[in-house]
Amino acid sequence: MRKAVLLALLLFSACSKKETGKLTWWQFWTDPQTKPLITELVAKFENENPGIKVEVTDLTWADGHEKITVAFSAGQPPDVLELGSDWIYEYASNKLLLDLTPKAESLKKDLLFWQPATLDEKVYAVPWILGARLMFYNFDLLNKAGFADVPVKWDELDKLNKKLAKFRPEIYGFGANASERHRLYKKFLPFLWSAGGEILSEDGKTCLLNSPEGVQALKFYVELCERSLLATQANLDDAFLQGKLASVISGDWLLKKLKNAPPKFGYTTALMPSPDGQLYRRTSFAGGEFLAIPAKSKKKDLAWRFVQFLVRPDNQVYFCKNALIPTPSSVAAQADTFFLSDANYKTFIEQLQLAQSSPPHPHWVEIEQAIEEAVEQAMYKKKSAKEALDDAAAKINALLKS
Amino acid sequence: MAGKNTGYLLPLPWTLTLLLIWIFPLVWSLVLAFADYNLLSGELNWIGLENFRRLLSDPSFQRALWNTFLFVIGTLPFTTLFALLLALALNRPVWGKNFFKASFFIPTITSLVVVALIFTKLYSEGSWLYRFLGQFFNLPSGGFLLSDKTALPSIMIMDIWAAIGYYILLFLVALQNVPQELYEAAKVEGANSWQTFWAVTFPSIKPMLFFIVTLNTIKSFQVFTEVFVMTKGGPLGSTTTAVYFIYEEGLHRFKMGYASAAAYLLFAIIALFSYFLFKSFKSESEVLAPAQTKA
Repeated sequence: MRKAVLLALLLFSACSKKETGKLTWWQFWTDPQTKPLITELVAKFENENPGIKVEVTDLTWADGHEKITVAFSAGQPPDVLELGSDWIYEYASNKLLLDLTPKAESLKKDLLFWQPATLDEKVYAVPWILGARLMFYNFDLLNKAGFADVPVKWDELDKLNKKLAKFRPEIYGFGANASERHRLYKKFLPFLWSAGGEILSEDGKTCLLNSPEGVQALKFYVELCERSLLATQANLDDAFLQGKLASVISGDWLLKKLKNAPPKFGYTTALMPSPDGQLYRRTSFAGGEFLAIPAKSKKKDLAWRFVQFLVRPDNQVYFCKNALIPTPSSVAAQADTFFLSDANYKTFIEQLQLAQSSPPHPHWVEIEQAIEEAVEQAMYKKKSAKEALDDAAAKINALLKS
Repeated sequence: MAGKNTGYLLPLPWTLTLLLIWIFPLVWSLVLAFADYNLLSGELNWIGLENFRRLLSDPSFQRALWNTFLFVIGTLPFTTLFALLLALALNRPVWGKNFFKASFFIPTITSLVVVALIFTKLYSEGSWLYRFLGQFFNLPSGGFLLSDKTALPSIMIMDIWAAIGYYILLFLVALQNVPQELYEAAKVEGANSWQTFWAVTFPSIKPMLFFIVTLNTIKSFQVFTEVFVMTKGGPLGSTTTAVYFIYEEGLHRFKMGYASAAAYLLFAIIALFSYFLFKSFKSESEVLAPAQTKA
């Protein structure tokens, strides 16, 4: 009996024994084309820093959020963590992420898009790989509708949609997400911002969703959707690849698919349209992958060394080039000829400059849901655009006060 | 080593597993049901029955319970009835019996996630099913899962299809255990097939029927995977079921206390249903007891 207990104790102590130089990293690049790049980057880091081992754990976007949450609540987070841009606030506001403000100072100028990582003027994560949503157009279908060039204004997009509506159900002018949680808002916000609307006031204390601009945006979005193909993002991307959609809002993953298997039709990417076609208004949604260090990490310095390594321009260029992602966070990497030589990659970088992300707020998940509910209610004709946004604004204002 | 205490050591791994993985979460979530507990910050405030009070007046929870109830009513009778009919058909000497048995059983051993993904495609606009039905009916644009009227029924139909194989198998087991001499006796008495079914087959498979209905009720009340994969509770909350509600509250909004309270309410509802099922089956089976001595 005593021996058994002793053995058990020994086993436990072996598990908890600190291994210096071992770093844990949770990341999301799991598809077979990009995972090897992660492995190579890790090997390179290990070569540059002898004696250090990086242990990589793969997460998926479908259940990563839950796994991270559980790890945090159990007090067992990894040393370095890749986060989606709109997850940073909830973890940061619960004091689970390391305040990187002094450390990040040296990186501030080299990297773009700190806004989603900044809460109360403190930096909690480092922008790594960014992503913007923009318009994809099918040239063949544009021509069929009598368009010589891509729509720049809202009513041009609407016209394209109307003209192609007569070919339904084979061909659609526009593809819209309907009722897809955590995705729908990313499709509506570009319209809101392009109209000059905002979600929250600058001080973050009032909801501005039901402003006249917001109502105008939702009205237009609902009208546009009436004649559009409604589907999930994956199905919309498929429909575009099959040549059934003249236009769709999507991200770099669709461009990657188009490059990997060039379709029979001509395609192009373009900035989001705006009500009056003015360039500065052609706003879109920007998301991205950020790197954070949990406050409970025992190897904060080593973790920071690894974060610095990952965002280094040469490593970003290497990763983005091979993964066919046009939007690294590093300014120097973006200036690489590889991205500048391709018109579509250039559009992504250009759109990124005109893009916003969701406002940093600890209650963002709930705000997001209120926005999506409003869009849904207007799309399904349960409420008018004004009523839906009024109700959402009331709900969000109550949240802001709590 | 082999002392007199060694015996206690042997069941230790399993006992520990049971305590840690089953009993502890059960008790802990009951504790949390009476608290306001934020999973991320770890703050815990006692609020007594407040969670339950808030739940009962929360329109989205009421909606979730209603949807769950609709789901149970819409799947349970059909799954059971179809399974019984198909099992009766397969219990006879039909041509290609094993092929049909396997065909009906395949959905059961296929991962529900895979089934849900296939049906998501099937239900979307542009699928052959959508086009075929579109010739006769006025279908919602965007496919079946993007309309608040058809989303829940679509999931129910898929669920019936996916669950039926398992219950066919259970019914077949029960049917094959019906004593042959009872059928012979019925034949001698001149009973027609309808009478034989009610006097011999039905009473004999009744315990199995009870088992299937209870199991199916509990499973239907806990519907989650389908919703998670296919609709995420949308559109307009028309497919938000009780367990999906618990998941959203707990793991998306980190309101663990609120989610635990909802879970315990669901538990109470399922327990109540099971109790009534138990009672109704028991009182009848006492009357019919002699017929099922061997089953």
